[in-house]
Amino acid sequence: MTPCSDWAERLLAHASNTLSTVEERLVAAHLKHCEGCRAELRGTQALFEQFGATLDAGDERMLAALDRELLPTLRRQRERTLRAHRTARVSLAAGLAAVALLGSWQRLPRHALGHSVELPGTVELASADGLTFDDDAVGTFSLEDDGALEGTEAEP
Amino acid sequence: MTPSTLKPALRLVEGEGAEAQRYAETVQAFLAGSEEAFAQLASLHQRTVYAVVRRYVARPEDAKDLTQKALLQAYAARPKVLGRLSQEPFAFKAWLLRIAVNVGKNHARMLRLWRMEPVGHLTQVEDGHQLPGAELELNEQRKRLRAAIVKLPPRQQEVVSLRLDGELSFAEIGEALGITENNAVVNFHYAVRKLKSLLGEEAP
Repeated sequence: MTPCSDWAERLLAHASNTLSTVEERLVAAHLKHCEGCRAELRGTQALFEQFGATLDAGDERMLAALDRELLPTLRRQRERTLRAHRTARVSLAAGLAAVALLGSWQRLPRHALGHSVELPGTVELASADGLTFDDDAVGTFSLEDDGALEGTEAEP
Repeated sequence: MTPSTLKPALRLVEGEGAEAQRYAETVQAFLAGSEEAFAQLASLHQRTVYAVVRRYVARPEDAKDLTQKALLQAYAARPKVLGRLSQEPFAFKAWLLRIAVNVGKNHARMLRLWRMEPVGHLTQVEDGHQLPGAELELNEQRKRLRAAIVKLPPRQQEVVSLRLDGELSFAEIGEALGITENNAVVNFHYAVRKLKSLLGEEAP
């Protein structure tokens, strides 16, 4: 006997337990007097049962092994992750420290780093009016970050 | 391992009741970072995850590896879940099976890339075992079913596996695969019809 084509969808939904109560009643009533649909339903249910029985003895062994191994594997993974995070934090801290050190070194005046320039005892500074200054009081000149020459000029 | 021998502390319970409450609390504990809670959930669902990824591999050993991979990915992905968690209760199982499907699909893609033997061509009968008649017949059925599933379009494979192996509702399947519930139903119906037709053709 062949199943009723207009009931096929509902039979499948019935087998999948997705029908509403009202529709369930309709299907049950139809199945009572339709051998074709009953056979169709049995086929569908058999297929679903086959799905449930696809795991064999080899699979069961693997599942048992999984049960044993899962927690240790999880712990190993967590330790690896923690180690990686720790390494990343240390690397980041070292990097930041290096950047900070470099930055402060660049901001330091040269004389503070021993790069000051000692001028000779007599400095001749040409002024706009052609006069020459001669002074022993010599200032120290140093280069700042912006490259501007700064220092104490010889007193006139 | 049968479902009755799963972790006694926790059972898969949907809906309401004390056990459902306990399950929801375990999920919350996992989201809060509890490794033990995740181990309980993983142990509870690992059979389902295994059954889903088993559709993508030929050997039980590979299915075991993929199951472990999916579970570890889920564990590592917890912060991402927290980031986009809405007010609704978190559907842990659907989320886990979505990861399992993706792990399985990636594995299958790699197999195709390396031109390895397709899943459906491999027998499940274990070497060196003299199986009794009934068990032999069952193995033949498994083999036929596996071969038939491989012939389905990928989306139908996913839907039918999530529904029958994963026991997800169509709404959950839709959520997991990024399709509508109705689309999941339609795909499922097409898949079942085609499977019945394929198995009917091959039946002796």
